[in-house]
Amino acid sequence: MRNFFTNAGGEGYDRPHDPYECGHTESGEACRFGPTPSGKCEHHAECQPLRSGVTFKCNRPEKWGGPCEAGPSAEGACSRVKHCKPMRSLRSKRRRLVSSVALLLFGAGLLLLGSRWSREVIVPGPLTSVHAQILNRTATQERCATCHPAGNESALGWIKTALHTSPGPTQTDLCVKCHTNLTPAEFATNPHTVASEALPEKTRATLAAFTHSIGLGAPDEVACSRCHQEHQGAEFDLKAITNARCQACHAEQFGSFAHGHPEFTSWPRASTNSVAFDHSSHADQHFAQKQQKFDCRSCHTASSTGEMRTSVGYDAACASCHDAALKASMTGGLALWNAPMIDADALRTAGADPGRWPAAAEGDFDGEFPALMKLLLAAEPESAKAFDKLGYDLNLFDLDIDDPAALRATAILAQASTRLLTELAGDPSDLVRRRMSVVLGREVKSDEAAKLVALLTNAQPQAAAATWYDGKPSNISESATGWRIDSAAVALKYQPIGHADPVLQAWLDIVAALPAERTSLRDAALAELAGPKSIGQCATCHTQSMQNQQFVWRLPTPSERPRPFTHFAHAPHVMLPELADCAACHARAAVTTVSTAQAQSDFAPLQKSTCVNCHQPHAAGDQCTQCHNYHVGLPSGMR
Amino acid sequence: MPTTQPILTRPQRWDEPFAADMSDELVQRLLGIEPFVRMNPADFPRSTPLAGILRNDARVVELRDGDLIVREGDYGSSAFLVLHGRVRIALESLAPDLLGRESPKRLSLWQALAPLWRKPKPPELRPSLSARDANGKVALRNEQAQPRVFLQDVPAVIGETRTAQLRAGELFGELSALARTPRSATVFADGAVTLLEIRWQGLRDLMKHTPALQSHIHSMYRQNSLRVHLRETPLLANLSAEQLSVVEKAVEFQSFGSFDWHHDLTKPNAPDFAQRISREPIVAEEGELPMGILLVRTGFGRVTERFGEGDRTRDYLAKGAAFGAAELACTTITGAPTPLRHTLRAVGQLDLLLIPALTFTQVIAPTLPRDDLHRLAAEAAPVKQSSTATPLADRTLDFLVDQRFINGVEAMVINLDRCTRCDDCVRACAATHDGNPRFVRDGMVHDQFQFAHACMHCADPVCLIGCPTGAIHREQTTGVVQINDRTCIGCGTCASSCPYTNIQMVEVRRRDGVIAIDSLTGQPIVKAAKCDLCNSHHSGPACQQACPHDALVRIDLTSPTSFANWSAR
Amino acid sequence: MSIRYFKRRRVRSALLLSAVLIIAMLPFRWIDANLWRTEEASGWTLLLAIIVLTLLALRKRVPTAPLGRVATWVQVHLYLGLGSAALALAHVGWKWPTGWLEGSLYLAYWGTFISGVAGLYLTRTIPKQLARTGEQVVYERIPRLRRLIADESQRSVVNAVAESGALTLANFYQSQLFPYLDAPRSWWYGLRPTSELRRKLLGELTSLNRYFSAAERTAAERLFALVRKKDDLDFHAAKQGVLKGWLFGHLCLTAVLVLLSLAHMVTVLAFRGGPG
Repeated sequence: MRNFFTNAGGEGYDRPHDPYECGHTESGEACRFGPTPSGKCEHHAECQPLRSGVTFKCNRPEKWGGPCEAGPSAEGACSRVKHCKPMRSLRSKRRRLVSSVALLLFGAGLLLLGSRWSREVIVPGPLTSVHAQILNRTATQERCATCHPAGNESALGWIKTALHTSPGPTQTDLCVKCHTNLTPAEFATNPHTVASEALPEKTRATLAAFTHSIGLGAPDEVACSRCHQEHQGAEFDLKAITNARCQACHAEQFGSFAHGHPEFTSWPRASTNSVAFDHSSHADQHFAQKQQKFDCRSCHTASSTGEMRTSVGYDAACASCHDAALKASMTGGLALWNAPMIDADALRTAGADPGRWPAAAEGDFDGEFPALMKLLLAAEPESAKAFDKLGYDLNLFDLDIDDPAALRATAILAQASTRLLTELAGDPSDLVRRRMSVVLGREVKSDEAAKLVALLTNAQPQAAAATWYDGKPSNISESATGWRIDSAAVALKYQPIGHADPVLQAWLDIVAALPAERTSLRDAALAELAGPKSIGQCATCHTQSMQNQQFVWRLPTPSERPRPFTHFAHAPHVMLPELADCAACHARAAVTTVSTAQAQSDFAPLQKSTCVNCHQPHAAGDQCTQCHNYHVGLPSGMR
Repeated sequence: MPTTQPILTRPQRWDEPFAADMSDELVQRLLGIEPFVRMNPADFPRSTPLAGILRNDARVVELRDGDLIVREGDYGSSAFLVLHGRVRIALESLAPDLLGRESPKRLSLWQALAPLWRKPKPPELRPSLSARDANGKVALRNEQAQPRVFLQDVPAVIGETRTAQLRAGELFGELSALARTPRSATVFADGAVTLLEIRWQGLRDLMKHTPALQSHIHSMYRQNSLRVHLRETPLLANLSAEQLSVVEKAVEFQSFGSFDWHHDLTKPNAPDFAQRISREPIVAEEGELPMGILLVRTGFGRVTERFGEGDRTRDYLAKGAAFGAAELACTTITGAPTPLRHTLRAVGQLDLLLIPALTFTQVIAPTLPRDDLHRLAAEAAPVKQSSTATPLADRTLDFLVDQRFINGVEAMVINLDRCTRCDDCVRACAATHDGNPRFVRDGMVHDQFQFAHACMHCADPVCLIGCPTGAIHREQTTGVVQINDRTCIGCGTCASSCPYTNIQMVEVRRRDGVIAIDSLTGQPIVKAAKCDLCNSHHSGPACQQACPHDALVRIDLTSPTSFANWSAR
Repeated sequence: MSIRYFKRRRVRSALLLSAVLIIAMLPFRWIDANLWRTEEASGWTLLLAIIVLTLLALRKRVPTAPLGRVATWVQVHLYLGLGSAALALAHVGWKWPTGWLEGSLYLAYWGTFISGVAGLYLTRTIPKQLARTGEQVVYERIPRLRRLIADESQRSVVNAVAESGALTLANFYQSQLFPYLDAPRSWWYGLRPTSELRRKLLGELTSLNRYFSAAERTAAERLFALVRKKDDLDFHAAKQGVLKGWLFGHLCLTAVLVLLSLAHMVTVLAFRGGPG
């Protein structure tokens, strides 16, 4: 019994690889022949009976069992012929099953792609809620195409697109279509979304080498998708980026914020668009003298968002000390028209006719044309020429009476002054508009002009002219509009109302905006209006911006500031008790040097080590994006 | 006269004489011619008289011009004596196609990939069945149920090849018949010729009792291959040419056992293994003093040790191995005679070379490095009783020898602990052989090892003996035993000779997939089919290549080492 | 004694796999730092791995092609398969993908992976169980051998009846033994082979022994042996069946995995935000 099976096995070679097996296999009675490779039973007989005389003898081979009992029929047909329905072998069944599963899946896939669920099938995951709510309005089948160029293609088209990029808009183009505030759009795919010239030279070179090495044509082809990957769920942070990726293009590589990040050399940096305020002198001198406490928090209060305000404003912060002096400086008023003292006879003798001239202003040459008048007179070419001769900073007291040309020029200016007053008596607002348009070299709008003359009507100039030229007594001397006729000084004056006077502001803006060819005019005007002793002392604090020479009237709100490369939020920091004292970080600079090249803070630069104390990977974090913005320069409404 | 002999002492082989038609007159006539006339019948024992040998162990063969008598590389068990006519012996190797052989064609990579797109075919398809003489240079003569292959154009062969003539009275083929070595040359009939074919049993008796014949045969062996054999023996590696000649002269020839070992295995009433051991002739016995070093020339020896009531196998020896060296080394060092630790028995036929003990101590031992000699001697130290020659368990050695797997050079062994029965080996085999597997994944199991029914390309290829057309032959360069399907006549001799049933007779099919039937007998036409070791492929045996789990191996079992290493993995 | 070959190979391969994985993952940091996407790198690597894993099936079909032994391929298959899990996790992250296509792809991947691991367990445990039975059986021959057992048993019973005329054994054989010997076992047995039924039948046969005639006893001896053989046969049918059936599942999952991978590849390439 030990070899019961083995001895039964000697029937030739097993053929497990054949595709079909005899239908009788299961019952253990498979025939010797087996089906054809295509699975047909050919009903082979086990022997070819031999004829012996008239009868037939079984001729079954010895190996197949020898002559059978039944023997052949009388006609010589073998009686042992098996019929069956061949069945597939195990291996063939397996192959069939696997290929049917594959076919079924392929078919199901095609069916789904042809159905209205085709997009649901391939969408890899939900969009962030921001994008999702925008796309929710679009029909499901068209959603993909909003962002993907291949979105409207068929499955075959996808294969084509997969193999080679198709022409037409890229996905980035579709991003920028909505994200228009990536200004300007041409820089949307530039590194840091700025013109490449704006990047440091060294970085640009590294960048070019890098983009070349990763197979990009140009450095300005950083597709949005390189950093922003969608379909990761509603709550996914699309802006998350690793520190290593930030450094991909940077010439200077370093390991972490704590190790290798450059020291801060000028942070915090005084804003070039700021109202001048010297913290040092206030704390050490002015407050000390008045024995008042210099408390940072009294000006830098926390806003509703918890962020530090840059200032609480003039009224709360400055007025208590500075308002009296400011108001005092205004008492003289702002002259729009003022006749200097002219020796009309001397002029006439010299052959230069000043025309008519107020009698009250006749005498030895003395006095100046006020700044506003210079501006208005400069609009006339011959007056401008006269000023060129005499200089805008002219004081008639210094007039060289032996110079006929100077006298002629003075006469021209006198005539022009008279003409100016006459015209002011017409429509003052329009006159200022016209003349300022000439001086600024641009069209001045009427509302702009209205601001300059405030509520001045033609009544006051008429009255003034009548009084000074014709000697008619005027009943209009002082009016509620702020304009008055100063008969003693032979001047038409505006009386500013105090801090932030709009007329003064408007005229200073005009002066700041004067074109380059009128530099001498501007200098003269600034000397009068923006000097330390000028009316209102405006420019003492409201300095001119370094960039555009405009006066900075108020601190920009955060949404007005361009998106900076570095940002800092005070709120989360000052919550810490040890940082509640501003001086914990901000030490005043020992020496304040005034540099014209760059606005400089009167605080010492912060030490990196101060930040590193907390900003470590497993503490407050040292992600690049905690302090730095990638997309620089766009308004922060886009943050 | 044989009739006067008591029946009991008559050699068993005479129950079936070599040829039934040897008459007494013929025997008498033979006794009157060379070389038998010079033999002295009195030298022969009563059980095997000279006339009896001629009567029962010889037959007369008549051949026609061009008939191939022996082919170079064939294995044969008989020698030939030219009685009448002439034969020619080719002094150069003849082209394989002249001998009706096909040299395997290596398949290209493209052909190796063919299974990917090839359609399944019916089993054993032979589209051109009639091509028995397909290559046109040899043909098959099928007369008196004694088919012969002959050269069609003898003058051309003689013209192109250096040949020598053998005339009446000359003997050839005796060396390879006695030593079971491949025929060294091709011999064919030059004109009509009558030969006396003597089977090896008779030849050995003739040799034993005819000193002239014995010295002739031994001197031929000494001339042809003794020196090569000695040179290849590691023990003699340090000998100078002169010392080697001394050893060469001292060598004695010994021969034990029978070539018919394989019949024992296939007989249904084969004796059990314990009996089998006791039947194996003892060459040298445990406890006796060694006569010298025994070198195995051909055949197999079993090394046993007394254990309980029987003998257990400790090792087995094949060609090239030495026996008794350790004991002699011990004697050389200690000076005291050391008895043999083991018994050497002949498994089947065992031909030995005996280097006498004196030659060892005087000539060989001094050439051995000191360390080697001591290491050798340490093996024979009596304290190390339990040491085994190989890391294989005794019962495994017993099994391998008892089942004669020691004959296998490329035996297929499957580790059943790893085999997942996926049949990838069978499938690979089929893919390599036109859709037909060439082995059966079944067979004897020992421990977790299955010895599958795949041709082992045996060291002693008994299947080769008796093939009438030489279709089954051993490829000389690779040792692969293969069958030329064109010249196989389906007689089944090889299949029934194979003691391991590793050759199957398969019913071949015509082009249309129907089993071909011999028109004369009405019986299916069969061909012998067996593993060819994928010798037409570069990759080696596909079964081993295809086994995914390192379970199947083609392994040399003629020495226990490779199997021991493999099975210990 | 030196460590066994297979054990040594296991350790070596595991070390190699870890090394390869680490080396394969190293560039991921570099890739990320260079603004490429690690998902892209791990995706391509994973796809390549899946293709190499699938190629095993093709390699098996060309046994003699000079492409290295299949066993080597299987080793690569095993360790690459195990390693692909790390790649898959690196590709997807520690979460389940949300899309239909990606979700089913991931499901197919883990299905294939788990079936592979299950296969590894089965192919390493079942052979030893099979080797323990008395005789080894070729799966395709099982029906024929079952028939052989049934015929042989029938013959012994018929002989016993003819010799003794007693029907005790014949009745028991008819009602209990023959149905057991003649038919394959249920699919349930295939999942969890037990010797319960064999022990029950042999127990009953033993208890009937006192009622048997001498001829019946001889036949009962034979039946004892045949029931054991049948049990071995059923065990082989079941266990070899599991090994073969497992491959059905693994290959089907592989087909699904490959198709979905290709679909995923096409959609990703078509819908990625451009190469820039």
